[in-house]
Amino acid sequence: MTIHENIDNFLAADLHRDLSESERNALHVHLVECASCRTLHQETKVMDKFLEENLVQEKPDADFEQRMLAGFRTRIPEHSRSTGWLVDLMRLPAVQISAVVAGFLGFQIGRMVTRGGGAEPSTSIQIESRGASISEAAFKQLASLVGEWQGVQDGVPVKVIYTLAANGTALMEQMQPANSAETMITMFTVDGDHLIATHYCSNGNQPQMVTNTVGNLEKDGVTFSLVRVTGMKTPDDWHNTGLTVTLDDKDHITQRWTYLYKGKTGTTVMRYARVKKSL
Amino acid sequence: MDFNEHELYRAAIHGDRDAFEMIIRTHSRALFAITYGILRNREETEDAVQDALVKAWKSRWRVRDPKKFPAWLTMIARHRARDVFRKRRHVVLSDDMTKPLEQEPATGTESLDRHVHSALAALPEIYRSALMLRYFEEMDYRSIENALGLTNGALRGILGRALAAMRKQLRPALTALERP
Repeated sequence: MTIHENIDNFLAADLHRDLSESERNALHVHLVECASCRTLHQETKVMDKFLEENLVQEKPDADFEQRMLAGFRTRIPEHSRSTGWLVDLMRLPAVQISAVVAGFLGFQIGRMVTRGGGAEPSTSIQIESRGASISEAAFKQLASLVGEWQGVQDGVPVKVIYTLAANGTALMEQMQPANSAETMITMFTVDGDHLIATHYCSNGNQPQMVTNTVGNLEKDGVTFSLVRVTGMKTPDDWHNTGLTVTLDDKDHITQRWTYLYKGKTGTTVMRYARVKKSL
Repeated sequence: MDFNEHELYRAAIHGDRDAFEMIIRTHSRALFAITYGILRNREETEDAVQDALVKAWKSRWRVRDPKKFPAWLTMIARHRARDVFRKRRHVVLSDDMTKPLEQEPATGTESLDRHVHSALAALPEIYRSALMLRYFEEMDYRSIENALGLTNGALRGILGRALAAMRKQLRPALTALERP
């Protein structure tokens, strides 16, 4: 099919910057030769500009994603997390499902025989206090990072300093690249059964991230996920959406930051070594 | 689709709530654009997107191939919007939502806006979805292809025909706009 026969597709793809260079060159050669396609090109350009200006005004406001997220969390409460195994189970072939069900029944019958079917004592207060003690233990692990750390990011040396503040209830991380006077701060605190990390970014926004399940700093790390972000000028602004801190050994840590920028996600990995003070 | 995106969809399908919440952050606006193209009412659109996200979480196990997750999510939102639209039509018979306006002279921006909306309403739904993602969310072709489950050739055809139909519909109004 020639460009002339396919002119609508070519004009749209040209305006939307989807043509390859050779396609664009061929189209422009054709437009020089064909007056009717030139007219269509002009009309399509005017309309493209008008649509751009007209439709973009109807975008949802900056808080839209937060509303969607809040609504989702309300309608699907946290305890639904435990259904992940069920999803995996539903994806298994029938034979495997039967085997899992049989195994589960066997386990339950075994428990009833050995315990006489008695229920385990359990209260929400116990669970909460256990959760709080886990988060406090995780905070203590994080507090062990106090001191100075050094790493390299994109060829630039980066210094990180951890200090305890507010009577030992907050851990402050100051991160400073060697080629900049800017310091970014992240504050870590405990809130009941979870930890909070609030990052004060040099981009001017402040993502607040929490642990959903408090991890172990020395194993898989402690992972924080975004719950809210303040200071955003547009929804497309670069901002962090998560952080995992892992203690690789007593002198090395890894930070995995996830971010969102113009709708695209990404991950930045930073590794730091403890700076040992010479005697 | 890059590795990170693929992993994100895979994790969400397997019940990783953090991954699904990340998808809510990254895909809600595209879902809004598509749904708004069908409903053209902000409150109903937000409700429809919310319903679609909840339904997607509950039935995520149906997706076998993580690559197809965004198109599947879009399909749920489109179905939900169609349901809302159908219910609305039973309550209020609103012809202006489905019929193009008569060709009346465009005397100002407001009139032109009305022409644009009525021209959009006259397009097939898939054309409208592609246009909304392109102009509303300024998405590139690759992202639109992922969101709608289309090949590049199919998307080029859809956007080409959509712009041609809009051009035909809006020609009188656009001629007036071009005049000094």
